[in-house]
Amino acid sequence: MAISDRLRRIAAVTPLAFVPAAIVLTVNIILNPRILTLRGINNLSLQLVTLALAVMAQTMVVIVREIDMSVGAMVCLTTVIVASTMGTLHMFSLLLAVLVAALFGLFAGLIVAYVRIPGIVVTLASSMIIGGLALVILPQPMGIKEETLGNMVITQPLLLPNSLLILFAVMLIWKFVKSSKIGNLIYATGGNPFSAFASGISVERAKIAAYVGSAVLASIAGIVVAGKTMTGDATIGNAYTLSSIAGTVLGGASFMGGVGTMRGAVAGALVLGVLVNILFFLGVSSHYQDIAEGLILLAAVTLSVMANREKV
Amino acid sequence: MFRLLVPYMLFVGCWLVVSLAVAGYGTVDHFLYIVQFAGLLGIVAAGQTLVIVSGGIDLSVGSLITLSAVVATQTSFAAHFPFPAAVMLGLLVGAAFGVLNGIGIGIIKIPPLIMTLATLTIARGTALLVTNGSPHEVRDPGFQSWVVKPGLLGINGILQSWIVISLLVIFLMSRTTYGKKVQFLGSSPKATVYAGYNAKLLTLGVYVLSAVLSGFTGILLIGFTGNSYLGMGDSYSLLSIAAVVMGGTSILGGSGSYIGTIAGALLLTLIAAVLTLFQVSGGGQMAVEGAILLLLMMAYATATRSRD
Repeated sequence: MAISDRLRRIAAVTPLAFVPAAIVLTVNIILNPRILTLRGINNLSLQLVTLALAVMAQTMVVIVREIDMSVGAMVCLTTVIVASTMGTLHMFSLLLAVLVAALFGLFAGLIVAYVRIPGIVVTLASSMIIGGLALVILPQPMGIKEETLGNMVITQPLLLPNSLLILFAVMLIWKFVKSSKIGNLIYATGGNPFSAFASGISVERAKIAAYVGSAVLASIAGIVVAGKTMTGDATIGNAYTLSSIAGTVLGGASFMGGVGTMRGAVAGALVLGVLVNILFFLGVSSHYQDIAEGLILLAAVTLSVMANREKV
Repeated sequence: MFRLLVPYMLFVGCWLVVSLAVAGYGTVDHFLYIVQFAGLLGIVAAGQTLVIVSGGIDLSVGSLITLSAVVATQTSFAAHFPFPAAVMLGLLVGAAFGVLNGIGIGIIKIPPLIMTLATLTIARGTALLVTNGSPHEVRDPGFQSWVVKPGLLGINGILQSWIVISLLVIFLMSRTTYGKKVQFLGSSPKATVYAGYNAKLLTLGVYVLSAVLSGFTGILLIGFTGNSYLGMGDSYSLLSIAAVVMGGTSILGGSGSYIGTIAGALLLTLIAAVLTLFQVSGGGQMAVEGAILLLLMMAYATATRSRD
């Protein structure tokens, strides 16, 4: 009795996406046991952590019932800023990149919150500005010479891949943020903006916080991308806008707001990334990757829409 | 009215400033060139206007432009289809994706943003499969000269098509019951259903129209550039939404007009042309266009609120 209660409680707080995530991971391990070696884990982690961070960025704004179409552009701009300032600022260029991203997030958030324009068009416009700026700074991709960045991201001195530790650190910080006042604001606003407003919660502040948080997460994803490719490239991150939305759907966040967890976001990214891995391993040509991703997204969203309809 | 006047005034204002400042800009020829080039964006944005007025959004237009174009070129080039048949096939493939969008959004009730994102990805993947990644030339001199060279009334095929499509779309939106129903659907989907209209069919209609118009733009684009390649239509997804929003259509749906979108398309094209003249790169152009889009949206939002 007590055990089944406990299990039920665990099931209640575990995002649904963990089930498919566990399944695809198991299938991948059976097909290719080599991913359980140190090197395999590192490669898998490098591949998934950027996606997970991008999905977390998207989930953040989806919780407040908005959307961020600038996640990809933010990843691009970050790699560009890191590559072009690393020579003079060294590791401070990472700080600069995060700061610039946060400012853009603040800017988008202010417009969404106070001018009350839907976030989708505001971030479409800001993604043009951010992506355009990235192209202006670096019209051609540029290599990064600073070894420190690469070592920081690619190596695994503590057995676990550093990239995974970055993700853990981000999630740990989120744990504190979530239970803080800002975290409550964000979830309350997404759940029901009207009652949140009526109970004296600043819906505006919640939206601004979500956009700043999203921008910061996207730029951390950008830093990991810069570290693993050792290049700054103004178009390298564009695909992340789409896959972050796909991952958010897979992670169980509701586009009606108020629902969504960072654990779910990571699970969603895992499902998306590992499924593509499995397809490759089965010998499916890489030409099918886009089609596969689109179909996965379609299947996931259809299931979630159907499931929600039955509940009502 | 404010939302209609502003984009036109901006376009005329920009035009006047540039004509006075830059030699060769004030001529009829150059004006015609800009208008003709704006036609490509204007035709995609016609579909986008319908979709946005119905309360949706179509991110897949860019991919569908590319897909229709590569399907048409591949079938005429590799499979030796006669050119008109290849064009029909390209349009049909585009329309099929429009049907997919319509079913997903209208019947399964997937949010438009996510649904069209999925079809965008699938269409892009299909285009990659069709081409294997390599660009292809188009060899149909008759079609190409119709698209590019001045013909009837001294204007090229792009502008001829744009004029016809504009008239049809304006008529559809303001003079037919379908147009009114689409507007109802955008302002209140629930009330539309309660009023006894078939919301599913209305939704299907706008997405199919949007897909076919994108496909048509893709076909015009291969006539214009003389070849087809992956990613050739990508920029039109963002630009078409920008043109619609600049034209004063509410992104929330329910109100808007294609007449405004036309101004949006003209303005965006003029800005790009002027920036090219001043040797601003593609990235710079994108940033400036984004900034103008943002400023206009803020102006509309504040103007609407102060009237309430």
